[in-house]
Amino acid sequence: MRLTCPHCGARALEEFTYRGDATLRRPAEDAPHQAWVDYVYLRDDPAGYHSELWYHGVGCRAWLVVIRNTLTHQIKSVSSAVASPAPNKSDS
Amino acid sequence: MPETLAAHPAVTPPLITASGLSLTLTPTRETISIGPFAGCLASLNTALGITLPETFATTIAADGVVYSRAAHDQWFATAPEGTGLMSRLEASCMKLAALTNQTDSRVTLSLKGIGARAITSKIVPIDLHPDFFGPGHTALTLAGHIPIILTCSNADTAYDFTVFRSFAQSLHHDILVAMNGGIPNSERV
Ligand SMILES: [Zn+2]
Repeated sequence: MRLTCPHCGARALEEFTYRGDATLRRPAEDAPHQAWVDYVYLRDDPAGYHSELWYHGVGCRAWLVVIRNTLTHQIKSVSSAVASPAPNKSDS
Repeated sequence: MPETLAAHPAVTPPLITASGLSLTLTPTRETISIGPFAGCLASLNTALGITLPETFATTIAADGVVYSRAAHDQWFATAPEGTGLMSRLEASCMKLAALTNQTDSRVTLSLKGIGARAITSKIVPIDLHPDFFGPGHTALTLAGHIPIILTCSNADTAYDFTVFRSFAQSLHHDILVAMNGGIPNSERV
């Protein structure tokens, strides 16, 4: 698999590290216990497109939002996590 | 009084040839990391009299100082040793950017000769075709398992590998193995 970093161009997978679901948002400090359990432990396992954080550690060291199809590994888009953060789960 | 460690070359031998190519440890250049303070990039460009490259590329200023983009919001300025680069940069841009002397941190190995692109391609996983990676281009990538800053000084025949000094001997070994293996499909090079 290759990812096209918006800063570096197409690079091989070994240059990147997968850093999890990009739609997770830290709950408010006074959020109920269950919201924190969800945030810390529970992850969706979508069959289809998924917004993910990837870190281009060997290249430009940028954090990226990758929209990947978990069924086909098709990469729909790769963008800078700073310039365009992934939407919240409730928005998508 | 403690004795200082004797300076020794980062790799041995500093010049080696194989399959008609040469691999050289280039003379040390004074290297200063430039990290512009927030909102200061435009005034920094004015103070330096150049435009720091916005893509991964290398620019040579009128005074011979070489500026390469090294990461997001970070550039390396290099000049021959003994030319006082740090004091020159401090004079012009100390209030606009964080300046850090990185001269000892990295060394550059230069691979030159017919087929240098084919040899480099064996250990570097990016497209080195001159249409994509020609003179002046810079890439942060891997050579084997070692992170490098790769620059092209002459399409097809000259590539510079800038590497952390402590990885230099291992990288030197990897490049030498690639050189000794010769050029794949060499009738077509
Ligand atoms: Zn990148």
